[in-house]
Amino acid sequence: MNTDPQVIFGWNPAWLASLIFAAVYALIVTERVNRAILAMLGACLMILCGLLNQEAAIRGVDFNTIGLLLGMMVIVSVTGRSGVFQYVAIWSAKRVQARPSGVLIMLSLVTAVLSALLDNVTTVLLIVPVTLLITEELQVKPYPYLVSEILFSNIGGTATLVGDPPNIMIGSSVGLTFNDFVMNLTPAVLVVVAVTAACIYFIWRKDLVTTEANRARVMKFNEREAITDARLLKQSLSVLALVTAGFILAHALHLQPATIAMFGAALLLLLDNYRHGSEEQSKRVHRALADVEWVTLLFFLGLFMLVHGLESAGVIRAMAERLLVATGGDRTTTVLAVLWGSAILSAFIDNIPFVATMIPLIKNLAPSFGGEQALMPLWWALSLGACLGGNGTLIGASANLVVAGLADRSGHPIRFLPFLKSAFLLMLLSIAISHVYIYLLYL
Amino acid sequence: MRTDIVTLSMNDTFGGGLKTMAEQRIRSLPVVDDKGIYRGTFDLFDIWEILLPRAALLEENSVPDLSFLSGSRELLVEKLNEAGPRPISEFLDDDKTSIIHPDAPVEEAILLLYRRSTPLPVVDRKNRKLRGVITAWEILQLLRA
Amino acid sequence: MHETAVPQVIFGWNAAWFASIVFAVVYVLIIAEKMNRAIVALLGAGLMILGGLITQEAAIRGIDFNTIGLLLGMMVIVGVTGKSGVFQYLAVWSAKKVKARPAGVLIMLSLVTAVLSALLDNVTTVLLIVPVTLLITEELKVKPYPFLVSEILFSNIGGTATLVGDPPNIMIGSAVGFTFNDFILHAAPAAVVVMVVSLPLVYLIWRKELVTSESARNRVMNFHEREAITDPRLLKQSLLVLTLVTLGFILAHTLHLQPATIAMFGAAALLLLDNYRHGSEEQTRRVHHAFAEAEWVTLMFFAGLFMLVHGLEAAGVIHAMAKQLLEATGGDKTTTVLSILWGSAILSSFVDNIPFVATMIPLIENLAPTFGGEEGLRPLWWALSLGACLGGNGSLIGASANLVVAGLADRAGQPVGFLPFLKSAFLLMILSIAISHVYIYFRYL
Repeated sequence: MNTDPQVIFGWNPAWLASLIFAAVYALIVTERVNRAILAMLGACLMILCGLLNQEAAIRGVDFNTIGLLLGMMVIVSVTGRSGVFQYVAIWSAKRVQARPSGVLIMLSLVTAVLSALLDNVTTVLLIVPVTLLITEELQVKPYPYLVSEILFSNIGGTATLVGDPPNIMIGSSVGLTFNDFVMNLTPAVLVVVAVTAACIYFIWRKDLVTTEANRARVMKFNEREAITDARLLKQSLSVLALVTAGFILAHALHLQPATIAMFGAALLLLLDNYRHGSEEQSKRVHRALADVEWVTLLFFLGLFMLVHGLESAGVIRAMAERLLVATGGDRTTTVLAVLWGSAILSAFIDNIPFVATMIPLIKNLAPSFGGEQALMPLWWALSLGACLGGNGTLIGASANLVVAGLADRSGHPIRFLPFLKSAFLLMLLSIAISHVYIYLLYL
Repeated sequence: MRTDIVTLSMNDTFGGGLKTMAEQRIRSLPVVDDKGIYRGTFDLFDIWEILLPRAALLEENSVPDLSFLSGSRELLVEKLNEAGPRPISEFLDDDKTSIIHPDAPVEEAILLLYRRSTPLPVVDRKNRKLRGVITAWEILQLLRA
Repeated sequence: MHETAVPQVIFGWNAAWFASIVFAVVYVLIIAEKMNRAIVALLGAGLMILGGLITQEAAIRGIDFNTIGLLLGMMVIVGVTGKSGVFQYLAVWSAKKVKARPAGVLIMLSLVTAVLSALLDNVTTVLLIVPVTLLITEELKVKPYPFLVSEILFSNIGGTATLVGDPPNIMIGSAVGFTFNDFILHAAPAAVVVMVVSLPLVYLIWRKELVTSESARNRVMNFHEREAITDPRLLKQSLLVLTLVTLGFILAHTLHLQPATIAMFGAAALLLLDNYRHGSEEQTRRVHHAFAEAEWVTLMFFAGLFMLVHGLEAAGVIHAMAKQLLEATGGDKTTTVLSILWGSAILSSFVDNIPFVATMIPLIENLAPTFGGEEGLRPLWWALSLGACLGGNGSLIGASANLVVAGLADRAGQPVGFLPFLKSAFLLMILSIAISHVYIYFRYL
C-alpha cells in the first residue's frame, strides 16, 4: 500500500475500518440481512469513506479462490444432472444390505470423500436429498445421518487443497499445492474420520434399527435408473478425473487451481452443449451459471475487500502484535494457540471470514518466527482449526446451515443446542487429535 | 391404467381436437398414428398458448402479468378460429408432456402427475405404442382400496 | 503493465503466432455461433494460460473488473427494478399518449428505448422493452418488424451518448479514465443529432405498415397502465436508487469514485431495500435469484475476452498491429482518426463490437507516442466510441442487443432475418457515421 488513504472527515482509518468490519460481522451473525448484501455494502462503504480506492479493493480480492470455487460449482452442478450422486448413495446403501448403521457409515464416507474433492456446500446439497429419501424408506430418523453428513463434510474437506474454502484461501495466499495438503493433512484427517465414525455409531446406535421388510424394499431399488443421462455421466467423470489430475500435477505444470477448475468447467459445458443450437446453448449455459452459489461468491468478494481495508488501515498488524504479546513470542505456544483458538472461534463465527482475517495476521508474524518457512506449522494449525472447528455448532460453516435448511424444509429440523451438544465434543476430540499430530510432526 | 381412452389421430386438426376436448371435458388427448404409435399429446396448454399474446410466452423474458389489458373477447375468438385448420402435428412438439413406461414404479407416476396434472400416457418402452393412460383418480383408487 | 520479456510458450512455439491463432480461432467460433461464446472465450483464455503465454495472475490482471462490476451492478439494479412493472407501465403510458397511433407508438417506443439505453445496459433494456412492444403490436394488429428494428437501432444510438450506455463506452472510459460527464460533453451531441435524423427516416421507410383499425386502437387505449405496476413500494425504491446511481455517475469525478463501485453499491442498496422485510432463508433465495438473473454468459464472455486480449498484448501482437496501422495512415492524425471512425463502424457491423473494442483499446494506447501523448489521443477515442457503438447498428450480429432482439422475435414467431435487417439498417448506420465524421472533423481536427 503506497500512500495513506484519505479518510473522509479525517477520521482515524484503523477505527473506521474496524467499526465497519465489526458492524458487518455482527449483522451477519444476527442473520437479519443476507450476508452477500452486507459484505458488498461494507466493502463499498470502505471505498466511499476513502479507506480504499476501487483498484486497491479489487487487488485485495483473491480471484484464485473465487475462480476455483466458481469452476468447481459449475462442474458439480452439471455433473449432478446426470444422477450420479443418487446412484452412488443408493449403490453404497445396498452394499451394506441396507442396514441402517451400515448406511450411516457408507453415506458419511461418501460425503467425506466427495467433500475432499468438491466444494462442501454443493456436496451436501446433492447428498442430503437422497439421504432423506433412503431414511424415509427405511423408516429411521434422518437426524443422525444429517448430523453425521455435516461433520464428515467438514472433516473430509480438511484433507485437500480444494475441499474446504479455508484451505483454498490458505493455499492460494501462501502458495501451497494440492500435494502439500495431501501429505500434511490427510493423515490427520484419516485418524479423525475413524475416531469420529466410531463415536457416532456409539452415540446413535439405538436409533439405527429397522425392519426386515424396510430393508428389503431399499434393496430392491434399481440404482441404474438413477442415472438419467449416461452420456453426461461419462463426460462429467472424465472432466472430474482430468481436473483432479490437474490439481495433483499443478505444480509441475506451473498451473494454478483456478485455471484448472475454470478450464474443466468450460470443457464440461462444451461437451454438454455442442450438440444443441445456438439459442438452446445460451439458455443451458445461462442456467448452469445461474445455479452457482452467487450469494457465497459475492460474500467472498465483499469479504476479501473488507479484510484488505482492515489491512490497509493497519488493524491486522496491530492484532498480530497483540497475539505475539499474548503468547510471549514462543512458536509452540503460538501454533497451539492458533489451533485451539481457530477451532473455538470457527465454531461460533463462520470460518471463512475468520480465516480471511487470520491469513494476513499470520503473515505478519513471519519476521518474529524466522521467515516464511517457519510459518508452516501455523498454517496447518489454522487449516485444521478452522476446518474442523466448523463442526462445533450449526453456524460454524456454510455447509452446516445448508443441511439445516434442507432438514427444516423436509420436516426434520436440526436445532442449534441439540446439535451443539453432540457435535461440540466431537469437534474438541478432533482438535485434540490434531494437537497431538501437530506437536509430534512439527514442534 | 385405463385403456378405453379417447385419442386423436395425426389427421386431426386443432379445431377438431378442441371440439373433442370441450365436449368430452378431457384435459389432454394422446395422439397416435395409424400404427398405434404414440406421437404426442394435445392438451389444454396448447389451447392457452394459442390464446395468449406471444409476449407472455417468452419464458424468463415474458411480460410478467397481463392485468393491465382491456379484456377483449373478439381478438381471442379470432385467434381460436385462425388456429382451427392447423394440423394437430404442429402442437405435439413440447417437452413438457411426460410419458411413463408400463414397468415404472407408482412413485414416478405420482411425481409426473404432480408436475403437470394431466392424464399420463403409458407408452411401451420398445415399440412406442400407446398402451393407455394413468389418471389421478386411478392412483387414488389404488391407494384407498 | 508492459510485459518486457516475451513469454515462454510450450514446445517453443512463437508467442505471437500462438496468441494470434488462439484468438482468431475463438473469433471464428463465436461468429459461427456453433458454440456458446462464454464457453469459447473461457476455453481460449484457458489455452493461453496452459500454453504458457500468460500466467493466471497476469490473466486476472488483464480483466477489466471496473467494466464487469459496472455491468453486473446495473444488471442487478435493472433486474430488480423490472419486477415492479415500471417498464410495462412506461411503454403502455407512452403508447396511450399518442392515442395508440402506430406511427406515434413507433416514435415513442424508440425514444423510450434510446433514453433507457443511455442509462442502462443495452441488452437489459431491450429485454424489458421488446416483450411489451410485441404485446402492443399484437393488440394493434400491426407487424412488429419495424418496431423491433427501430428499437435495435435506438438502443445502440442511445447507448452511445453516455459512459454507461454501451459496453464499448464502458470499456473505453474505464481504460482511459473518462468520466460520465466527458461522454455527455463529447459523445452525446453526435448521438442526439443521429437520433433526430434517424427518427423521420425510420418513419418514412415503414410508413405503409403503420396503419391499424379504430377498434384496435381503442383496445390499446383501454389498457390500464396503472395495473402494470405490480409493486409500488419497489417502484419507489428502484427509482430512488436509480436516481442516486445516476447522480453518483455524474459526480463520480468529484467524489473520487469509479463507476463499478457506484453501480455495485446501488445494487446492494436496492437488494437491501427489497429484502430486509423477509426472513433469512427467503432472503437467500431472493438474493440468489437476483444475481442468478444477471447475464453471466455475457460477463463470463467479457472475462475470457479480456484475458485473450491481454495474451495478445503480452505476445506483442497488438503492438505490431498498431505499427501497421500507422504505416497505413502515414502517421497523419486526421487520417488515422477518420480511418478509425469508418473502420470501426464497418468492422463493428460484422464483428461483435465488444471484442473489437477490447482489441482496439491497447492498440490505440500504443499510438500515444506518435500523436503527442495521452491528450493527443482524445479524438481517436471519440472516433472509436462513435464508430463502434453506432457501427453496431450495421447488421444483426453487430451488437449483443441486436441478437437478443432477434432471439426474442424468433421465439415470438416474428423473426428478423439477417439480410432484410441489413438492407435497411446498414444505410442508416452509414448515415450516422457520416454525421459523426462531420462532427469529429469540425470539433477536433
